[in-house]
Amino acid sequence: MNSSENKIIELRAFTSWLGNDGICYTVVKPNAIVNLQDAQENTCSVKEISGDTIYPLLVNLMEIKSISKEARDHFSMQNRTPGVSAIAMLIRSPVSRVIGNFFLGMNRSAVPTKLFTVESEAILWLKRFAVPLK
Amino acid sequence: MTEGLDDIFNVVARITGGKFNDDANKKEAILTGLLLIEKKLENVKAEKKKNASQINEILDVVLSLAQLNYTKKATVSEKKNDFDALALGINMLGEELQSSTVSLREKEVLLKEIHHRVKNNLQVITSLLNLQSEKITQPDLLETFMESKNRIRAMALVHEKLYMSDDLSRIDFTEYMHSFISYMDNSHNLNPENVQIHVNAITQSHFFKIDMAIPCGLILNELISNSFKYAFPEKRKGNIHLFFGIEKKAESLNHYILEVADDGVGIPSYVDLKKPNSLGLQLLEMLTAQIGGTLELDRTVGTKFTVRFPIS
Repeated sequence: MNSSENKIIELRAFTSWLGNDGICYTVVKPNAIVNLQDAQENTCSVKEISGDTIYPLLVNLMEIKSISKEARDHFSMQNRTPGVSAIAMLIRSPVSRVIGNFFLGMNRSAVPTKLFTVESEAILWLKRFAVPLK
Repeated sequence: MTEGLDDIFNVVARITGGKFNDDANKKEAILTGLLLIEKKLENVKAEKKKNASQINEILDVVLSLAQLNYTKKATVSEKKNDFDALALGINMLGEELQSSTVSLREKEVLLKEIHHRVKNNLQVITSLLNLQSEKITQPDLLETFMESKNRIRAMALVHEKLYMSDDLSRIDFTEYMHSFISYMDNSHNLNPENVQIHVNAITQSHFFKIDMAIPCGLILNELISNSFKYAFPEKRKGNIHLFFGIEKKAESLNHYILEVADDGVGIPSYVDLKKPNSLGLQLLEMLTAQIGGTLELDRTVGTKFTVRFPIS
């Protein structure tokens, strides 16, 4: 998990940090309705904690309520560089399952992307793309 | 307390999850349990009613989407259960469908604009050829300009028909033929009392995509131009018969057939289709091959060209 020197960024809909395992974490807050502004802020926060390094990203969607079309389009990364090396999406509730599968089905991700229901399995998979922390 | 009442007591306790330790007042405990069951049943009924209402709402949204109406959205509650997931999924699919429809309409408008511009550009080339030809005094060269102009017009008309049609990917070739003949009639300045074109029999629509329409239009241009140019010298009277349709053959697959026949002086005997000596005939050969067709020449009465090509 995050050490004391690893910065945690709290946003309206997300909490993000860089783990000591070289994985970037972003968790959707309970019952969050993610809009474009949330999505853009999240991208900025992930960039901020990543610096110049490209890390794999774990997105915890378990508690999400919904996400707007504009936010989905933003996350689909069309016309911009991904900034991450791989994405694991953590899903649990039927709603998060639909959202996760929607991302996978509707968009051709520029980086390897996979859905998981168990966090440890997601981390294990992401570690293949992880780089040592500076 | 009877043994039967004990059984009821146990069942009620199991259903309600209640712990009725007061053996002395089992009747009251059962009553409490039954009231709990009643309340639970009411909750189940209310939940069922709510689910049915949510399903109805989702169906309503699906029906609206089927009519390309994107204004309705299904409600997603904070429970995030299967019904909410379904509602959210339908809402998201609706948003994607709306976005795709808008993008498709934009592309259609753009495609229409492109066909319009191509047609206009081809028209500009025709005008330039007209302007240049004004200074030409040599009849042979003037004729070459005229031929080029007609070929360009044949292509421009395809683009004109495409942007004017509802379906931007194909044109009604029958309609194209009628427009083209009307243009050729005016362009060649032939006296209608001398030469008459008969196309009335062609009424049925046949839709061609652009890659078929352009070569077919050019073939039509070459055949008609050929009759106009050579069949009726020195104000000779005559007819040009045009036929286009589907040739039904029992022994093989059906083909399109395009026939241009005139009762003019006839094509000279030295002209060999296999060794074409003019650009027009060379083009005819090439374009017929391009659409996978065959070209036939019949000299029995005047000149009759027949092009057969597969229905693709």
